[in-house]
Amino acid sequence: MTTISRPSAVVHVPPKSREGAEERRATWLLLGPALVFLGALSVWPFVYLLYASFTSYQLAIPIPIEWVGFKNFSRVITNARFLSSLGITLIFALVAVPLQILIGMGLALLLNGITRGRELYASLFLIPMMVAPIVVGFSWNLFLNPIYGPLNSFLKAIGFEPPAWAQSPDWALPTLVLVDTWQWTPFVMVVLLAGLKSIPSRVYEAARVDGSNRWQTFFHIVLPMLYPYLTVAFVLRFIDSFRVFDIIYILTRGGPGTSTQNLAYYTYDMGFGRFEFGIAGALSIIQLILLTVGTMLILSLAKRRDRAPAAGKALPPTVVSHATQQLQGANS
Amino acid sequence: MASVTLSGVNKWYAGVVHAVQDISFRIEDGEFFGLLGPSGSGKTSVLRMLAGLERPTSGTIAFDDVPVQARSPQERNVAMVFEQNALYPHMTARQNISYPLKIRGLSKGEIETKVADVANMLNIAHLIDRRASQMSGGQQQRVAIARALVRRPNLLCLDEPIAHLDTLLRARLRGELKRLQRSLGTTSVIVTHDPIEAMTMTDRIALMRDGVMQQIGTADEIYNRPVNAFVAQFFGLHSMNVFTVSDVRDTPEFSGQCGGQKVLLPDCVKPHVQADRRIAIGARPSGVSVHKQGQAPRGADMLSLSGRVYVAEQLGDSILVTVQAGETTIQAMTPPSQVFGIDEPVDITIRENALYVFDGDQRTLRFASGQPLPGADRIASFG
Repeated sequence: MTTISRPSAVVHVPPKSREGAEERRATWLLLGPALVFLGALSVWPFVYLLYASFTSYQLAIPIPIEWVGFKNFSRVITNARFLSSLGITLIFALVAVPLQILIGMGLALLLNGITRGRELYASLFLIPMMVAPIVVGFSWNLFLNPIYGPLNSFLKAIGFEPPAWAQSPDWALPTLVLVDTWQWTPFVMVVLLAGLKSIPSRVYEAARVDGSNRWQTFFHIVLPMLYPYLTVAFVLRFIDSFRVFDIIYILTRGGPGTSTQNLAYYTYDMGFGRFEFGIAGALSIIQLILLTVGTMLILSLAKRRDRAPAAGKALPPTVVSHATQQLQGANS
Repeated sequence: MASVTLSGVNKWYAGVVHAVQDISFRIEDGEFFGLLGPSGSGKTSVLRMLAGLERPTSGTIAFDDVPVQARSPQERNVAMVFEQNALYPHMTARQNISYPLKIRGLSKGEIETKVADVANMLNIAHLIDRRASQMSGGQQQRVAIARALVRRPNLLCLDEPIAHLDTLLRARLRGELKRLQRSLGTTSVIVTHDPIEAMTMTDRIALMRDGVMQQIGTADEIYNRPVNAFVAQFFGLHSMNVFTVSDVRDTPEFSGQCGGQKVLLPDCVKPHVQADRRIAIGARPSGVSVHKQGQAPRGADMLSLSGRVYVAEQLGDSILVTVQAGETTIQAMTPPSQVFGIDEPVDITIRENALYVFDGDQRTLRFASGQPLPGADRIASFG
């Protein structure tokens, strides 16, 4: 037998010596600030929110806080305003997100097809995404102003009778969808462009030699290879669409009436408009549950696709699991 | 299945790189044809033009004498096997192989039969439901070959199909591919940078360099009658030794100078010496003998010079000795019984019957293996 020592770095043995104790202390010292920060800004508010949702906490009325069990929840889900805001949230998600995916895919294909100046165009397209949502809200508010806005001046000048956009009951929600799409389509484009870049040119050439035309290549080969990227884009945009608040706050304030009041805005209104912290807490928890269930559903569908041909061997973790991590980050 | 004719084909990239320069040749129906050359020689460009992935800048390509250079790969009914990673990764082997049939609108039953046939032929029936990521490189290439053969193409284009596999597997697939091609009779073109691959698999070989065709012929023809020194050095398991001898004179003995060394030349070289008194000598390592200093035989039928051993490499059944003679290095294949030390002074001899003579610029073969070539002066010099 030889006596060559083997590398032992694989298993980390907890240090027991004095040096070890020092190392442990250093570990806590280094991690401590971050943990405190996380606890104070993320864990504690969540625990407090959970607690508040089961109490009669009202900031404006100095009554003692009482434990009310699920009363807040039952009050919320039987409320017509809740149901209408849930409907608006879902309509928003199911119109805006597919729209963004479609346009984003188109832009990504367009950019992937050009060789000269691709980076320049990509960065130009990214600008809306880099603007703070509140600024986006103000800019569009000016742009779409029915009286002073340049858009309506232009439309009137060429003979149209333009709507009042954000102030019109029929046009307010489409306007918000438009603004959100304007801002977030570039994100979808970037994700899908990365996906397109990951397809080797040989695959396209093989398809050409196999006799596949452009459409066949797109639907049979490119699109299936993009599924993981589409899943990521869809999930992230779906979550974000539930959180849309800034542009509603600036452009419509949930109105006219309650026509653009989504769950996020309704929750804000209950919490900081009426100081009903118990109700607002219950609303937040309900949204969290809805989002979690929704995204789990999407991911399990995506995973089933991924696994489709049963071959026994497990596939390497794909982008889907990456999306799961992102999601967990986004939910907390 | 078809014969393929290229005439005067040129390919320019971006108007600056002349990648393929005025190439003409014919591939017979059912022939296995090799396109050989170092990287950048233009061989892959020729293949891509045959496949229809690229258009020639000028010239014509004809299948069965019908010009096809403006047609798409589909219209030409060509199939191609790429170097690697060209399977559709989201599909199983079965889906990959059936794809070309599916988009041609064949019925499910037909597709199933054809896929099963080709899968059995290539021994991949047990892999048929795996995806690319679940297969080894060799298995993936088998699937790629199956995908190419399943629709019986007019022309099968193979772009270094086995270059990325390990040595043993490569050797096995060489034989398999050759048998497969023979039994199917599909006209096939393989691009390779490995002379052994080209020699072992194909019927005829076209050797290219820097976009220029050097020589077209059977392995035997190219090996034994290389048209120039480049072909001689590139083709074969071991590179041919080629060195230029200058200042060739007849008195006091027939000799010349090579990198500061005196070289005694055999009489057969005499008729080929040009006015500039230069000549290039070629000899394969197997034709070179190495002797201890002072022990070399002498004669008018052999070339001799002296040098020092640079390195001796054991190859098992022989030793490859590299000798430094002035500024020239010469490799010799010697029997394993002969042992030489590094820097040992030695004499080298090459017999007339192992000798090749090129002109002083190494561009044209003048004399090969003991017998003057018929019309040696007229052998095309493509350089």
